[in-house]
Amino acid sequence: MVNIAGPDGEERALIARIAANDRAAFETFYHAFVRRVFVFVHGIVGARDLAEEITGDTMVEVWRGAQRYSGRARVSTWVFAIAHHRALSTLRRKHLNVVSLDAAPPVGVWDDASRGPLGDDSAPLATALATLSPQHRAVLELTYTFDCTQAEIATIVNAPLATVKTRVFNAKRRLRAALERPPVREQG
Amino acid sequence: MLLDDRDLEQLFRARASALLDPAPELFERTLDRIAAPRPRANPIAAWWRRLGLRGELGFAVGLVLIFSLFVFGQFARGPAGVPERIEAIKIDKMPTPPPVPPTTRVAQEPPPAIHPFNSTARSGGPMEEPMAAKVLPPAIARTATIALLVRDVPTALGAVDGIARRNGGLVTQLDDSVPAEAGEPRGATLTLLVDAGRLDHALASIAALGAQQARTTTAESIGDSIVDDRARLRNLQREETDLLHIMDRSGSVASILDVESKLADVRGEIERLNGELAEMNHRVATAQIDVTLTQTQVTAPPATPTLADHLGATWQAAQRSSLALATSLLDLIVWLTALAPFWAVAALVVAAIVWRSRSRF
Repeated sequence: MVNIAGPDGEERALIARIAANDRAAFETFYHAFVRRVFVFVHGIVGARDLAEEITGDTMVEVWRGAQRYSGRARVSTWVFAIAHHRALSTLRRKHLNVVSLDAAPPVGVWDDASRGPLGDDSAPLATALATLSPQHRAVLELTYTFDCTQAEIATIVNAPLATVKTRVFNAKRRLRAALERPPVREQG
Repeated sequence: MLLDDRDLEQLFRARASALLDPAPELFERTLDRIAAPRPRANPIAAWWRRLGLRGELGFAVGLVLIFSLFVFGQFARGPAGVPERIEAIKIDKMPTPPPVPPTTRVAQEPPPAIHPFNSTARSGGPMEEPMAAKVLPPAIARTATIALLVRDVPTALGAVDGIARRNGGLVTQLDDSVPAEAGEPRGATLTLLVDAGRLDHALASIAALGAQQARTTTAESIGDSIVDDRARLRNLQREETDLLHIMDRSGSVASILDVESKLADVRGEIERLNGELAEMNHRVATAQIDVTLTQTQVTAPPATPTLADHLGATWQAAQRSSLALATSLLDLIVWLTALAPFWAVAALVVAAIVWRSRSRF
């Protein structure tokens, strides 16, 4: 389980220093958050290059928006909200995998190049995730990878709690259906 | 195979663990992007973003206040200055004189052209021969009243006197009152007579001396009365002549005394009618104007005001200012209440701005 929120006091201090244009603080922050953000974004977009691009955008946005962080939510929640917004807007801008939550999305840019030694074991999940919408993938990542509460997910995705509950329910249902579906035999 | 949450969680963990880290060059690229100058943004959008929540609220509140003050200033009354206090001018139009049927009145003499200030009444004299029937011009007696607010009553009095003289008349009555207490307005009333044909011109000249508060003009047809008096005068003149003939033929002293007594009565009545006719002719030839002047400026305080006078004047001025302020504030409250729909819309706009600008973080 990836701990989405480290010691929040230290993170807030980093943000405060970043707001003062402290490059060293930004480097510390970057190394502390880059993997988490990358994993989250990759879970949404499914493509490594695109995930790196969006991760970079997120970090730049953190640097530029540090002064606007008011401390009302945790730093990690704020960063993930930026990443979520960036991911969806990038997909929308690139016209990638933009489908309604009710429709079965086509297979997008999901690739297998992200997998490491355990890539074969995660292939069914990747295949199943490719059938979901970016919004569904986002809530599933936050739920299972980062163990976020639904209240935190609602803050990150900027949706009402009831909407998040419904979205999570539907996402799970579709994911299970996709994972339990027998694989399509290739025509030989 | 049924997958529960634990199974899904394991799948997601495994996938996350298997995911390689992002390229190390990503950090350098990020630093380069941070160091690069940002593209120029829309200045208006950039200004709006810099406002922040408080700026946006202040901007919205300022717009609403400016709009409310504009509406209030357009429709609210100004200070109780003299020009704004002019009441509607009410002028009673002179009624159209009724047409005189050409055969109903027999004019035995044309209307005497009597100068209003040189009129002489004459009684007795031979009866004039009746003339051919003529249509008498309407005999209308016109009067007018006018009330003005003037800056200085003595100056206005002099001006009115000059107007009266220029219009063939003079001031016949004057009442100029100087108030005993400081702070009381000074006033004056006067009556002037002008040529009937110059009444309107004289009224216009008087009205120009100050702020008109009221103005009326009336007209009274007295032609019937003049005709009746003339007819009675002719009858009395015949009776006088007859009595003189009787007295010439009378023999006894008693008869003569009796005739003389009656003759005295007849001559007295003739004199009265002549006077009455002269007065009515005078009323037709002239027009009376009753003028009321009120001074707007406060009468100068006594030459040696005491401390009590000064404090009293200050207290009165303060009371008037307080009353004016309270009235203005009440007016403002009434206007704001009347503008409640606009305030409701503005409040919704402000609430929308607040809600939109509310940061989750």
